[in-house]
Amino acid sequence: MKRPPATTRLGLNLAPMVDVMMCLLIFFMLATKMVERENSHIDLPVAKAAKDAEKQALGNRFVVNIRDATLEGGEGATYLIREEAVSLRNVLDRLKIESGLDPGVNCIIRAERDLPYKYIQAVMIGCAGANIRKITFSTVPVEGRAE
Amino acid sequence: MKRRHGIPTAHADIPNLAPMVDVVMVILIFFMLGTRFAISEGVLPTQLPSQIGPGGGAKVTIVPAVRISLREPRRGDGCEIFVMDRALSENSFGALTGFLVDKLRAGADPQGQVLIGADPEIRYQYVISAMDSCVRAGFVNLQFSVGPAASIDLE
Repeated sequence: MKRPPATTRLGLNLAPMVDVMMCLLIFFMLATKMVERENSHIDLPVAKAAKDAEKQALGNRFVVNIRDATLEGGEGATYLIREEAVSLRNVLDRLKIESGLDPGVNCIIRAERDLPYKYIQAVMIGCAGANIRKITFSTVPVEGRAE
Repeated sequence: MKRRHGIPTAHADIPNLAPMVDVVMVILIFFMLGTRFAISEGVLPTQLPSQIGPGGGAKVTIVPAVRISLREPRRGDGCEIFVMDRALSENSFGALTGFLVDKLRAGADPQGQVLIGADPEIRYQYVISAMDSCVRAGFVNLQFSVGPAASIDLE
């Protein structure tokens, strides 16, 4: 009489799966950049000659975000400082305070590319009023959304 | 032969990977959901003249090497580009860059002031495009002329 074949134990080999998962994990860990709170999601204007923001020594900075209020059902523009919606008067007051604390403060304007210029101009006039001489415009090298 | 008691079997040395896989999966999902592939941000820095003063309405006399005006078109969308109050032969920012490059080749000082002015209703992108043209051409000293503040609700 023939002997029945020896039973083989079926086991799941997890090693290749762990390898792949570790590779994916490392990739996403390296690719992830925690977005700074001061930066809103804004469609910035395109400028090919712009310098890389991370390589620029911007010094003490005060970031003013200007979003298109019509996209949210409002009217005109919404001014944001540290993700908080504020009035233009408040922005102008804050500019004066920042200038008082540090006369060399750099005002960084991050505004939607399709906004009328007058909303940006108002902040620039505010900078002049507060005696802030450094104004930096945030841009992107190609059309798209910066974080 | 009988197996002796107390000696562990060979497969007992293999570590149990299941908890590690669980943890790695959770971390992986966190990073997959948390990651956004963004375009890196650039900046166009400017330095305003020291003559500006409190009030924002102070008049400053600037004799620019180039004066660029962006005006609302009489009809349609976009903007009309004027250099030294003359319309460009081709109304495009590429043509503006070309004009500025020619100006530098003709001997203009790259440190010379370039004054950019724009109508209040012009899209912000056009102002940045004008700045971009200046920087690409080689001018570094950019200034802005602002007229009376457009009526914007302060509150």
